[in-house]
Amino acid sequence: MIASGGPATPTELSADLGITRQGASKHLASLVEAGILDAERSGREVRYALVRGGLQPGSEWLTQVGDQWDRRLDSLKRHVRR
Amino acid sequence: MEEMTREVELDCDPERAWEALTEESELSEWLGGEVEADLKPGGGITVREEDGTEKSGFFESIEEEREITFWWSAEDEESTRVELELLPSVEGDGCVVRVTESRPLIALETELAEIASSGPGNGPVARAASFACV
Repeated sequence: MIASGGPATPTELSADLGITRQGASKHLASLVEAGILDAERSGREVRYALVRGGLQPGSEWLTQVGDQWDRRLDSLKRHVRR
Repeated sequence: MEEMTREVELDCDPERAWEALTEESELSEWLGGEVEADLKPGGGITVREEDGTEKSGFFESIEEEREITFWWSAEDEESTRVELELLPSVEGDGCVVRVTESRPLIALETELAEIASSGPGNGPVARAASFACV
């Protein structure tokens, strides 16, 4: 919903999703912690919006690709050793 | 845009390192199982692993004895960009290889999806589009 409708408050989201406002807030907080959502205070409200690229498993990719290159560069080092 | 960088210190001179970065038989010893590389801009690169997986792509640029850049992807996956740089060693008589792999296409795809669903945002694609509409 945030992806299609733009930034939203917990009240708006909980109304649409049929969950309690507290439930929505808890869920939103864990998405902020995971780096998927940004929280922006606007007056007395907090609005949640997607972090650009945040839906991609970025840290997963970084770890996986980092490990692959660690192995390759280790092989390279051993291969050229004098 | 996501990118990762790694560096390794090599115990060999830069000429030897450049060989290891550019010759098929050498690349097959460290980059992956079996490597085919047509080392020129637009030339193809294929890396076949023992388990049967394969990545393929093309070279973007080659700067003799300094840098190689190529794009590659596994089947049905996003293309990512790899930059391999050959650098002098800070101390000693070896050299350093630095690799940077990035995923520029993912950021673009996300931005396009946002524009399609919720109207112009603030990214470079949206700004360019707004100039086109004036």
